[in-house]
Amino acid sequence: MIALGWTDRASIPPEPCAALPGPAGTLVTAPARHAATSAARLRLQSACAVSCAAFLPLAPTLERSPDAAHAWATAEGHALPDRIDAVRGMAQATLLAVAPPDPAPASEATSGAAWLSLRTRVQADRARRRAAAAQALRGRAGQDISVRAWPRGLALDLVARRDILQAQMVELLAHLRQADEPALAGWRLTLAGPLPVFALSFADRAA
Amino acid sequence: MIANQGLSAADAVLDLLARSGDADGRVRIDPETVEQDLARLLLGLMEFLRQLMELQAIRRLEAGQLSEEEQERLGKTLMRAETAIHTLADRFGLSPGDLSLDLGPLGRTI
Repeated sequence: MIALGWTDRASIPPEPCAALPGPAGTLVTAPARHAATSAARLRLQSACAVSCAAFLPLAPTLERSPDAAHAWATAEGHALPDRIDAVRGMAQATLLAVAPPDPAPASEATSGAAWLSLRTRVQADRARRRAAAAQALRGRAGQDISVRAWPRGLALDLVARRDILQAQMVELLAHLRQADEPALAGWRLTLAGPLPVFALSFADRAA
Repeated sequence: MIANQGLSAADAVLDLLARSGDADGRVRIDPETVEQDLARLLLGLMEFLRQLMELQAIRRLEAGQLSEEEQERLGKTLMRAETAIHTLADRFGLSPGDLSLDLGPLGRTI
């Protein structure tokens, strides 16, 4: 069995998942053959988020046994009930912004010091472009939305009640489609949702 | 802009996962192209390490920790290493973009 996330005692996860009550919380699990890949786990977690009134997902990219998840909850899961309550009826949409490739350096360097200086400028330009893009995204999504960096660009999470999230996604799309934003030129934007509330998942890898 | 409103949540994110882990970026060795695949793996790791060293050199430069002589030596070493890696990659029919390796949930090397 593979651990997928946490739920409350009243919720019944969909087939082929099962609820496994423990001393610190109710774990949702799935047979290993149904949850062998990250994509399969994510698919099951999305179904659980729809079926369960409250579902707090684990990271879908790591396989965890139910024993390991329960052991974590017993040792460190003091905030688990509150966190499960926090995701009750909630869902998440994630906007991924993939940065365009860096422009080629204007000229070839003739010395080592000049080459290093050129690369330093390229790095600084990249950081400036990302900061400007993050500011532009905040301007479209709302200043209280946290924009985080990831290796290929930027990402932001909208967390809202499941019944209004779709409307918020439509609104965000409309904002993003409005007038051209120079800071976002060349960026590839993907909005995905509704998803389980990964934004409130515990950071602990064992969780 | 790609909007996934019409898809289920799972399908939408599966789409993301599929595109981030496309077959071209995966670390895989095929019996028919084993030399090129090994070259790609090894050169990809070398380029990854070279870029880490470049970032470290930039940090030290910005912190004022490099003398002019060290700037010249480090810059020349990194520049020549980049040229050598790209030249070797070209011999195996690989572009610089091919040296980006997909490590699954860990992301891409470069």
